[in-house]
Amino acid sequence: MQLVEALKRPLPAATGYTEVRFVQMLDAPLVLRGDLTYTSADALGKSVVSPYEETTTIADGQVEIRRPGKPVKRFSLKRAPALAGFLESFSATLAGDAQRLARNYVLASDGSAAGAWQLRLVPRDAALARHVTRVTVSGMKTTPLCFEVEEAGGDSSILLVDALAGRPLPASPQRAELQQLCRHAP
Amino acid sequence: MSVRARVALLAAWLALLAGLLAYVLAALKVSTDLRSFMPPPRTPEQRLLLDEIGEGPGSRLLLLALTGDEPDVLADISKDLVPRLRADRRFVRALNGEDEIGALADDLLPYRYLLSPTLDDAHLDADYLRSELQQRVQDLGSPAAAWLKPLLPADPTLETVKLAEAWAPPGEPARYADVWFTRDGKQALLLAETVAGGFDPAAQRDAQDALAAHFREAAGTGRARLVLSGPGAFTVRINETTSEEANFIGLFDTVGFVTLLLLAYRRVTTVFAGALPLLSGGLAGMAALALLFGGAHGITLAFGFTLIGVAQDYPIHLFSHLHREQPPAAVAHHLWPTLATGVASTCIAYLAFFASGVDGLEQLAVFTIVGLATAALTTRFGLVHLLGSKPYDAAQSSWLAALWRRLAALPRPRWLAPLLALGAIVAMSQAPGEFWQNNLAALTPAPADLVAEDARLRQELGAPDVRHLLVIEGDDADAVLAASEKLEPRLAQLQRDGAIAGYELPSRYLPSVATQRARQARLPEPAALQAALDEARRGLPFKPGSFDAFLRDVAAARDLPPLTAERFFASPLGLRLKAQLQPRDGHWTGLVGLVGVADASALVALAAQPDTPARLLDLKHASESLVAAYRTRVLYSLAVAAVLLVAVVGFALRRRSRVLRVLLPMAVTTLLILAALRLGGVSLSLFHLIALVLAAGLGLDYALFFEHVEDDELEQRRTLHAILVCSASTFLVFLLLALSSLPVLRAIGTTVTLGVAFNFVLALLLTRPRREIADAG
Repeated sequence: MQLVEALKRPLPAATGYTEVRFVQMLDAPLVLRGDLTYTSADALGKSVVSPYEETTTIADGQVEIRRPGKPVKRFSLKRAPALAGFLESFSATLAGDAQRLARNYVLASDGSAAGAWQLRLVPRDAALARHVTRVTVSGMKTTPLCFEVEEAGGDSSILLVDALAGRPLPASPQRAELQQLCRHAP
Repeated sequence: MSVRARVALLAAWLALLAGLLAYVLAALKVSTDLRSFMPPPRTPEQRLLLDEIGEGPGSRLLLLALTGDEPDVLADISKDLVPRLRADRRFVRALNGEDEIGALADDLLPYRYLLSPTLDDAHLDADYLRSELQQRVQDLGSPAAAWLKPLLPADPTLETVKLAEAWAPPGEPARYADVWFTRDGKQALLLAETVAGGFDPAAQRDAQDALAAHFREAAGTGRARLVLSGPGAFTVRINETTSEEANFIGLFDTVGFVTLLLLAYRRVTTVFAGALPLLSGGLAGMAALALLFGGAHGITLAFGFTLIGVAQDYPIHLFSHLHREQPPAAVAHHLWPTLATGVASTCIAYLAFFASGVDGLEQLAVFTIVGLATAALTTRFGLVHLLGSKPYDAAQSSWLAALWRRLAALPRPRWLAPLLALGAIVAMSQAPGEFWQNNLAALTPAPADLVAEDARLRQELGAPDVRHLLVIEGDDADAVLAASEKLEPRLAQLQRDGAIAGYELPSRYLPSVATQRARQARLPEPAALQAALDEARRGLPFKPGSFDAFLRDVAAARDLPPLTAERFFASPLGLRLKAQLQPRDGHWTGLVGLVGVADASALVALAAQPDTPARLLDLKHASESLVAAYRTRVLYSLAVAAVLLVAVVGFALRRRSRVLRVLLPMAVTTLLILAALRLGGVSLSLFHLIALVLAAGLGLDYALFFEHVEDDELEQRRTLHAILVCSASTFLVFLLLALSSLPVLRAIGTTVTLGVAFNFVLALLLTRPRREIADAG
C-alpha cells in the first residue's frame, strides 16, 4: 500500500474544509465551512465558521460541541459512528499507516494515470458497520482531497479539504456533482 | 459415681447440648441492623434517624474506583460491570457515566412534556419552535446528528434529552472513553446504590461480596483492582476488623486460660469438664432468645457472652474447694448458699434491664439471666457428678499456705473505704475532657486511610453528603412532591451562594400533579400547534411532514391523566424515585440528597424558616442524641439493678455488717474504675457501662466467698485459691482485650481489668471478718 504510505503528514496538521451533508429529513443539503486541526492520532478539532459558529473537539473518545451562548454538549464518540469512521480513516491516512487501515477496513483502491486516486474503505468492525457502510477517500498524488462517509440510514457527507476546501459550490450542490469533483480533481 | 455412670452422664449432657445447638442454629435469627438495637425514638429527629439510618440516599451509596491497569482496560471493565450490577437485585442503581439516553421508557415517553420543565417558561409557539428547529438544523450538521436524528420526528424540542440530563447526578465527574474517571485519568469511577441499609453489616457484606464477584468476572485475569468506599464499605470493614481482632485475642485468651487452669488443678479432665457449665449457659441463653424473641441482635450476643463470662468462675469455686475427705457433691452442697447468693442477686439485678423498654437490652437480660442460672445449676447438679474422687487439693500447696498467712496478716483499716471513695469522686470531678462519649463512631473508628480515600472519591464523584439530609414529609406522595418543588428555588439559591455544590430532589424525577396539569394546560391545541410549526419551519430545509409524530404526541399528551408515583415506580427508573420517595406508616417521606455541603449553617438556617417544607436531618447530631437517650435508659436500669442487688444480698445475709462488707468493695471499685478511666482522659460510653456491670458481678462473687469464711484454715486456703484463680484468669482474659487497638474492645478490656484488680484487693482488705486476724496472729 504505497499509496497510503505516501500520504503521511507531519503532525499537527491543519486545513480548511467544506462539508456537504445530505440528510434525508432535509430537502436541501447542509453546506458547512470551517477549519480542521489534527493534533494527534485520536484528537481532532473541527470548527464550523459558516453559516454559524460551532466547535467540535474530539479527545480520548469524547466529543464536545460548543456553540456560542449554549451549554457545551458532551458525548461519547461511540454515539457518533459517522464521526468515528471519518476520524479513523482520516488519522490513519494522515499517518500513512496502511496496516492500521487494513486492520479496520476492507480496502479497495484505484488510480488514474494523471495521479488521481480513490480509496474505498468498508468497516470490518460490526458495530461501526451497522452505522457506516463505506468511507471513500479520494485525492491527487500524495494529497487527500475528499472524505465521503456513507451512513447505513441513507444519509451521507462529503468533506472537501486542502485544495478543494475553498472551491465555490452551488447553493444546493448535488452529491453526484461532488463525487465527480473528488474523482477528477485537478 | 462409677466411671460408667460418669461417662453416661457426660454423653447425655453433650447430647443435650447438641440438641440445644441444633435448635439455636435453626430457630435463632441473628440480626445485624443497628436499628434493632436502638431504643424507641422520642424526638422527630431521632425518629427520622431510625427511619433513615442506613436508608438515606447517601448512606446506601457505594463509591467504586477501578485502579491498577491501563485506562482503556479499566474503562472496559467499568462498562462490563454496570450491566451486571443493574441485573442484580441487590442494587438499586449502578452508574458509570455512560449515557442513559434510553432511560425514559416507552410507556413514559408520552409524558415528556409533563415531566420536563420546558413548558414552565416557554410556549410551543412559532417563535420558540423556530429557535428550536434552527438548532436542530445545526445538530444535523454536527456529529451529534447520529443519535439525535431518530429522536427528531417526535421530539424536535429534545425533551427526552433534557430529562436525561436533569436525571444525571449533579456535578458530573471527569470522563475517559465514555465513563467516569478521576481527574488524573488513572482510576475509573462508579456509583452503586445497594438495596441494603448502609449500617447493616450482614446485608452490606452480601451486596459487597456480590459486587466483588461481578468485578472479578468483568475484570478477568487482569491487574485491575476494585476499591470500595462509602458507609456500607466502612460498616463491613469495621465489623470485620473488630471480629478478626476479637477472635485473635479470644484464641490467645483460651490458650492462656486453659494453661492457667491446668497449672491450678493439674487434671486435664477437670479443666475440660469445667467448660461445660459456661457452654450450657451460652446455649441455653440463645435458646431462650430464640423461644422468646425468635431472634437476637448481634450486639446482644456479643455483650451477652461477655457478661456470662462470669459463669466460668462457678466451676473454679467448685474445683478449688475439692478435697479427698468429701465427695464433690458434698463440697458443692456446702458451697451452694454462697454461690447461689451471688448468682441470684446478679440475675435479679439484670431484671432491671428487662424493664428498660429497649429490645436490645431486654434480650440482653434474658440471655444473661438464663445463661448464668443455667451455668450455676449445671455446676451444682451436673458437673459435680462428672468429677473423680481423687481431686487435686489446693489446700496442700505450701506456697498457698505461705501466701494465705501473709494475706491474713494484712491490716483492714476502717478508713480505707471512705477515703478511696472520696478520692475517686474528687478525681472524677477534676478529670479532663467530656464525661460521656456520645459519638458511637469514635468507638469504632474507620481507618484513616479509608476516610481519606472516601473524601477523595466523594469529591471526584460529586456523591451526596452522608451526614446531612433534607427530609420532606406529607400525607401522600403528591404532597411530598409539591413540597419538593417548593424547595427547588431555595436550594438553587444555596447552590449559587456556594453553601452546597448540588442537590437531588425527588421532584426532579416526578413533578407534582399540579405542575403536570399546569404544563398540560400550556400544550397548544392541535390546529394551533400545526400553524405554529408551519410558521417556524418556513425558510428551514425540513421536509414537509417531518414532525407529524410530534403533532400526534402533543395532541395525546393534552388528555393524559397525570403521572402518579405508583406508575412511575413501575417504570425502569422507578427504583431511583423509590430511593427518594417512600410511604411509611400512613404518610410519605421524601429524601433530598445534598452534595458537597460547604456551609452546614446555611442549611440549618433554611430548615429553620417556618415556611420551609422540609426538616434538616443531621445524622451525627441525631445519633448522638439517641445515644444519650439510650444511656439514660441504661443508667436508670443500672440504678434499679443496684437497688435490687442490695435487697437480694440483704435478704440472703440478713446482718447489716455482713451486707456492708460484701457490697462495699464492689461499690468502691466502681468509683475507682470510673476515676481511673476519667483520669486517663477516657470519655465513658455504653460499652464502659456494660463492662462496669460485669466488673460489679465479679466483685460480688469475690466478696461473698471472702465473707463466707470457714473456721478451718484449710478451707480458708481453698477459698483463697478459688478467688486467686478466678481473678487471675479474668484479669488475663480482659488484659489482652485492654491492649487491643480497637477502642470498643479496649473500653471493655480496660474496665474489667481494672475492676478485677480493685475488687480482689478491696475484697481482701474490706470483706474478711475481723476475727480472722486473731486466728491468724
